[in-house]
Amino acid sequence: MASSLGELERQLRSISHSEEAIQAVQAFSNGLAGTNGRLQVWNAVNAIVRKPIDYGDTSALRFDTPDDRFSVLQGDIVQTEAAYFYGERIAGMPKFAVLNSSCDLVPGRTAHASLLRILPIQKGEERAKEKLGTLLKFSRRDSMYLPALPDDTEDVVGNGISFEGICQIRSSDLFLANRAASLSVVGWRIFASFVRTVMARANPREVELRMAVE
Amino acid sequence: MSTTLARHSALALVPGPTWNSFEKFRKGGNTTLEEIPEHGVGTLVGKGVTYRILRDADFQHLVGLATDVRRLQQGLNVIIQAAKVVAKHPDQEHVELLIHSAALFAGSPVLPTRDGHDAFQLTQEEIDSQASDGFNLENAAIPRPRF
Repeated sequence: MASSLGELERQLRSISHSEEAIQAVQAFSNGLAGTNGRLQVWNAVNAIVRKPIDYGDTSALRFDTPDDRFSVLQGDIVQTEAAYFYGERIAGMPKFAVLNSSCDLVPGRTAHASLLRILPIQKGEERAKEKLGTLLKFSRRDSMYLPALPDDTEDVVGNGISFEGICQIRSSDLFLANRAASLSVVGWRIFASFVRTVMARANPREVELRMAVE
Repeated sequence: MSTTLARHSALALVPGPTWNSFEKFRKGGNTTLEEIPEHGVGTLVGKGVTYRILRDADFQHLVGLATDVRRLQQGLNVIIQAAKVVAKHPDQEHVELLIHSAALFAGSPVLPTRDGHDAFQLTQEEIDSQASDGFNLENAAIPRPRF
């Protein structure tokens, strides 16, 4: 246990702003054999996404205490027309990933929830190949690769979760959204790695700057 | 993907099939649900309860419109509160407040919506870094998870 603020800062230094998790994802994907190889791994069922996790199934596995009950989980891919971005309601059945931790998504616990936009990549759009290749390398800090989902139109070749800009929705509306998919265990870990990195990363220059003024 | 200020299309629901018992509904199997057309509302009459069944896209559209109604109600509440203040204190300052509130509301009779998300964008550096990738999107058989 730290005995001073200075010691506490030193303890936190390696964990509070660490990019280690996202670097591990990137290294793994870089080790796969090109775009084709990456597609084979990441697009398999349960690689990143899986069938929506259903409370009926989990309660049958004895996850049935009052705290285990859920309607949606963190990272779930949902479709709704009741979310807002910069004051505009987004129509056209867009998809989103649920940003909140699952424990905040229990009915009655929070009034509002946050969603991340899912941007589809269509085969015919400009630079589609490059966009797919870039996302599959997990080299961006603001975008996470998702395969085309079962209910995406045939022209969709992949998706990106955009961590830039957060949408808002009433929790009560979120619980009525259509759940297109849940994240697999490793998909959920990757998602959380992005969330941490986007919310708290620091370059060495900022560390120096802050320490210089104290 | 652009922002619109046009009135968003009202959802025109149409009557779909009616089942007078759950048994009739169940016996029809999958084809029963396929009888519900786009924007159609099926009716299932149960014992003491009647259920309405509609496609998820129509349901999500309805929920989206309901959120707009809440926005309008909030705007109306501001005007009603301002009118109450004017009724209690009918002076020039409060009348102007009421006029200002009403003007704000009347000035935006439609609610801003956007259709879908913006497209994913790349930097030139990212485009260049993909130049050596031999992947051919045109001929690729991209696997897609099926649940």
